[in-house]
Amino acid sequence: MPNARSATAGVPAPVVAAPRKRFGLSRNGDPADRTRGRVHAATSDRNGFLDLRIVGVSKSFGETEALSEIDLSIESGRTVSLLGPSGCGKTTLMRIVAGLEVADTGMVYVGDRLLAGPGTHVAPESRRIGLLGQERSLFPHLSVGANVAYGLGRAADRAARVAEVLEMVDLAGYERRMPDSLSGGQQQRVAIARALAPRPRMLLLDEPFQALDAHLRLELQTEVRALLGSLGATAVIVTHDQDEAFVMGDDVAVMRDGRIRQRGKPSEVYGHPESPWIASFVGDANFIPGIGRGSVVSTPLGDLGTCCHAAGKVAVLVRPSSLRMVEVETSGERDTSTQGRVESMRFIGHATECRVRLGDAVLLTRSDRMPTVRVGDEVTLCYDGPPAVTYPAAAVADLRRRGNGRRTEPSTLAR
Amino acid sequence: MDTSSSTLLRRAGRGIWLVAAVTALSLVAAACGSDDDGAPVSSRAPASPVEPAPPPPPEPGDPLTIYSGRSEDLISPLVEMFEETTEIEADVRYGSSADLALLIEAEGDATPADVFISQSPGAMGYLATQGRLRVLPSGVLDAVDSAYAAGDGTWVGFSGRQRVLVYNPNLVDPADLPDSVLDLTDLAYDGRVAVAPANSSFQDFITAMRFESGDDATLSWLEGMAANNAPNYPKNSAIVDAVLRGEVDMGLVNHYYLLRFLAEDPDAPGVNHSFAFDDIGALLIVTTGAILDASDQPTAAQAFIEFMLTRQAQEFYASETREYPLAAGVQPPEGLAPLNVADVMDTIDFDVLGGGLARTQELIDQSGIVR
Amino acid sequence: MDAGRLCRIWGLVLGLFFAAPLGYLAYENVRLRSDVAGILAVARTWGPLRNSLLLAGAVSAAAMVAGTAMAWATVRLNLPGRRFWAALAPLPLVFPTFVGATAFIALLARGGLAEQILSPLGVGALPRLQGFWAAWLVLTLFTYPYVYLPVRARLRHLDPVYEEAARVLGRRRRSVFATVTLPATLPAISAGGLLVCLYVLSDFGAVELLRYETLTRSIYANRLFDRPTSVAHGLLLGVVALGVVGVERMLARRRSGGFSATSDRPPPLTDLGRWRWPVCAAVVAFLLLALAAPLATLGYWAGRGIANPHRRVGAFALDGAGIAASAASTVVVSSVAAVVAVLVMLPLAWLLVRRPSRSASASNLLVTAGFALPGIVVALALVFWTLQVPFAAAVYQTLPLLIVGYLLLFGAQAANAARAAVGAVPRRLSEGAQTLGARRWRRLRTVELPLMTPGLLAAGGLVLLSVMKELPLTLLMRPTNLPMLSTDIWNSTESLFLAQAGLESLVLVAASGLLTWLLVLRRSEFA
Repeated sequence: MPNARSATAGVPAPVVAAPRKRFGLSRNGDPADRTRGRVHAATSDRNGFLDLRIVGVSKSFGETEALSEIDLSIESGRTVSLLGPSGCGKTTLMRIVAGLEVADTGMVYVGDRLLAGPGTHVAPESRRIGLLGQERSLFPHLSVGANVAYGLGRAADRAARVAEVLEMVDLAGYERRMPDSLSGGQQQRVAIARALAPRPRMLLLDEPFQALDAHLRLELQTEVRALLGSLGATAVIVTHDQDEAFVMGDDVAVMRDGRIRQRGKPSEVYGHPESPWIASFVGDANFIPGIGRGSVVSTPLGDLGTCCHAAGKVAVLVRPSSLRMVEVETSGERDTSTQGRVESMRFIGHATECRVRLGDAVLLTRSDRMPTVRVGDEVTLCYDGPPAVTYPAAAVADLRRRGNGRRTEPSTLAR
Repeated sequence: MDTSSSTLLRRAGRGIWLVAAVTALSLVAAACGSDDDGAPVSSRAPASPVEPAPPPPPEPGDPLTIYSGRSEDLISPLVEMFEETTEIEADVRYGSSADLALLIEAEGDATPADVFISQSPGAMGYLATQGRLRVLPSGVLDAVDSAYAAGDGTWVGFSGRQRVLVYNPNLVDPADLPDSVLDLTDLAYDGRVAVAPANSSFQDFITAMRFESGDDATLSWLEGMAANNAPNYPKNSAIVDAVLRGEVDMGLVNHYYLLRFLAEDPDAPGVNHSFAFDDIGALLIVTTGAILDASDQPTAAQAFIEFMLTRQAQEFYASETREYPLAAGVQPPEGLAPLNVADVMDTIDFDVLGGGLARTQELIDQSGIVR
Repeated sequence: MDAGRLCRIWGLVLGLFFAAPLGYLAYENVRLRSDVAGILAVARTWGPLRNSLLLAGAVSAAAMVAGTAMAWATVRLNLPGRRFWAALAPLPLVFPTFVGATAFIALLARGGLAEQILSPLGVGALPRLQGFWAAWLVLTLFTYPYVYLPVRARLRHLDPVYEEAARVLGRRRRSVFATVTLPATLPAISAGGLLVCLYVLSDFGAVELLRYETLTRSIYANRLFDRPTSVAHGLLLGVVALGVVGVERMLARRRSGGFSATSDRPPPLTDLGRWRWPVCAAVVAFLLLALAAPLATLGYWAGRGIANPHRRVGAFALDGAGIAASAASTVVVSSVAAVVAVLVMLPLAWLLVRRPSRSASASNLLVTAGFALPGIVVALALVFWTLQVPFAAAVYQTLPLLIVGYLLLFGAQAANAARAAVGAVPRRLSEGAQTLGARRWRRLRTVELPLMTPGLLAAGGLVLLSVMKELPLTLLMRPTNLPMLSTDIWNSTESLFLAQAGLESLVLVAASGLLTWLLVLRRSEFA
């Protein structure tokens, strides 16, 4: 869908009270209302979101280096997912941006304003940054309305603004309810409304859906994504869940051990991870040995075309979905095939995962077709994916030695 | 006497200081005893100390239980002496006299106590009016002047403390001191005489004054003291302390507090002024003992009461607690005038002091002396 | 039988048990045919009643401010040595008020220690310490730890997320404190304030020595010679206490709790900048007043006695071995009492938090109000009820009955703190353990107790300190010949053996301080 934000900065916005955007999955709004909401939301440059620039930020806690020389820029109106395993420093970075921690070195700008830098530390209350944390942070002693109005100070139009943002999160009329009478998802919506109410210059969402159950999480991810897009919000979403990172972010920045390792569009990061570690962190990954010969790599699965030049001993990234299984009776149709035995199968519903033993290694395959094989069957594996990504063989050995973050797959082929 | 001191020495492990003190005392007592052998016993009150009776056969079962309104430091040496002499075991529970009297009342027939020692005649009188005390044999009552025993024979006095006016010689010229406590309402003493209206000794004194002079005169004296801005203190010791520090010129207290302060600091500037013997201000307040009605060991209890009136115990009061021994023939503490059993003392019935304290408190409240 | 029903029955039993003193007072009023209406209608009642309420209100207010300020300063400000100050801050609770008040009077009196120190500096006569303000000051200094301890625990474990959210939403520190920190801490402040209020209503030592005419003083003054007035005033005090507790509970119900206070994240420190040293000086000055001032007097007495031992006659010499024996038995007895009180009160606390009901609230009302009754009343009530039971003589004035008495007196403290401990266990967590198939007792042992431990230790600690300094009940109900420090101190002060009293008090303070540190603070708050 094309971005509906107005790119015509000089054109005066239609005079409406405020962006009236229904959440995508509106419960009680009629379709007309929804459409109107989108139209109005298209005028959201007035919301005043600015760009974020983080330059050379480092932070240590005692001996432990939490962040080292972080550079990260986010254009106005864009959402970046900051993806990394727990303990990688992503939350620390967000707290530095919000002003809740002080960086050892480096600078943080929002728009042209220096918020943190040598000799400068703008207090959190003066930064105009919206923060949505992972814990339930609603004030339990205040009503929903008072919670949302909390950041509004003594503004004259408090009540109107509260009603407006509550409507944005599909909770119109909930002003008098107390937080403990709301469901977890509703509470998080209120928290979003509260963060949006003071018209922040940018939003920080730190694992915002972690406490919610899977179904609700998916729903809110979609809705918040739509809302941020329609508001034209500059936002950082911190998460350790690559699905969430891909869904929520225009860009994904992958962090590890206090550094940003890769930044790019979700498809880039998934399709062309810059290291074996990133490859296995953002999704399931098989690594098979190969000998690079320019644009072709020789592997146990046959010769594969590569995306980039490859030479010498390399490890080839093979996503489980790029592997196709053919029952051995009907095999032999392609040269790039190798026989193996199905060791185990996992039926997930929308897909089936198989572990196939190939020599002394096990490869993970995933297919969205109904399985036609059974455990113990002999199968032929075919590579059926984009041009292969290769890494120096040593990099994968290193990954194995250090562990590869969250998703440790036994499928890494070693030979 | 010799046998008792050797008994003491046999059990010297119980506390070296106590044994030393007690041994010394019993040696003194033994020495004095030979002098006073055959002291005359008048037909009337001033009797001789009770001679230590041959120890009665210890009753089987529990030890003798004593509830003492006097503090441990003053009673426990005497109890130890008693145990040594009579081989009767005794347990003591210490507390304030009023609390213990209430406890005995609440315990009723189940009370474990056999003997009650009261610091104030009021608490003892309370139990007497409740009918909780046993009448003592006349032999015990005769050891003291009849003024110091209950008219109905339910309790007997052990020792006495005199009401005095303590003063700081740096602040007061002794020539200015009055002979009667009644003169303290004079303007010359404005703001200079400390009182402790909440203290039981003060209240006993007021009750005695009521008995002697009537409620109206007592009230007007209290009002006079109030008009004279008598500073209030919570208790006797606080007054003496304040006088020694020069916070207040003088105060109405019991005589022995000063002596104890002086024992700790002999240079402290304090002197006791005694009112005239016939003055109500020179009232003697007695520490009393009684056997409880519900006692299951009356024989041992009586042995204890008798022991408290022996020369040995009585001289302990004089030398250690600085009180007046009540059994006749025992010398008062060093530096104190001999106790004159003046006429006025004969006429005050201490029983009344107990029963009438409610009215006393009313008068104290009414006078405005409490501030 | 299931645990919930057992707890409910236990709650009812406790309610009846803690109603015993009030029942006794009611019975005495009937037995003595006291003209309750007549007594209550006269000025002799209204004055003390007004004074009691005034003092309790003023001390509670001041203690809530001081306790909260001290807790906040030691948890949230980057004060130099704040852990040290934090460990000292609860200690004033260990002074029996009769010792503390005596020490203060002696300190400030003319010619006292303060004057000796200050007169070279040209400070003139100090005002005499007595009356309302004196009682207010002394009681505030000795009771603020009732507020300090729970508020400190609350502040330490309050999830910083609320205050961070508030700041990011644009509020300055002061505003965050007023709109978030304070409301989040209010349950702890008010629970502590309630204990202070009830303690002040019950206190006799300080008001007697500082001469402020309260109901408790009237109960004591009239206890023997005007029984009808004394018991009527006792009943009145009980009713007042019930009212105070009821009002607090009502207010507490209106406040919705719900702040997550199980955070393990170290609480954020506020950098005071150039105010660091002045604020630290204020904290130290307060501790000097509450702790060092009475200690100085006690030390002065003890030192004077030790320096001049020859001035004592033999029988009254300082008795080191005796003090050690008393300290040992005091420690044992109070520890046992603390454990018993926590165990007995835990089911009620659980009931109040997890299965609130009218009967549980009523039990809690009685338990808590019992804290306001003076020790002598509770002691006599215990005697009265015990002797109604056949063969009671077997336990009379034995250790078990003494412990029961302490429970009656201080159960409220245990229940109050245990309730906070139960509240610290997220319901979801025990439900989680339940789904894992953990049975009731295993759940208690493996999940809930470990989480409750800091709170339960605090509950035990409060009871421990209170028992160590308790006097009236100990005097009447302890087993004969059981030496206890508080009764020793009382004996020594009664006999004016100030050196001995000073030394014994110092031992009491040291022993309670050490115990609190070892058993409570080290494990819960300062680990």
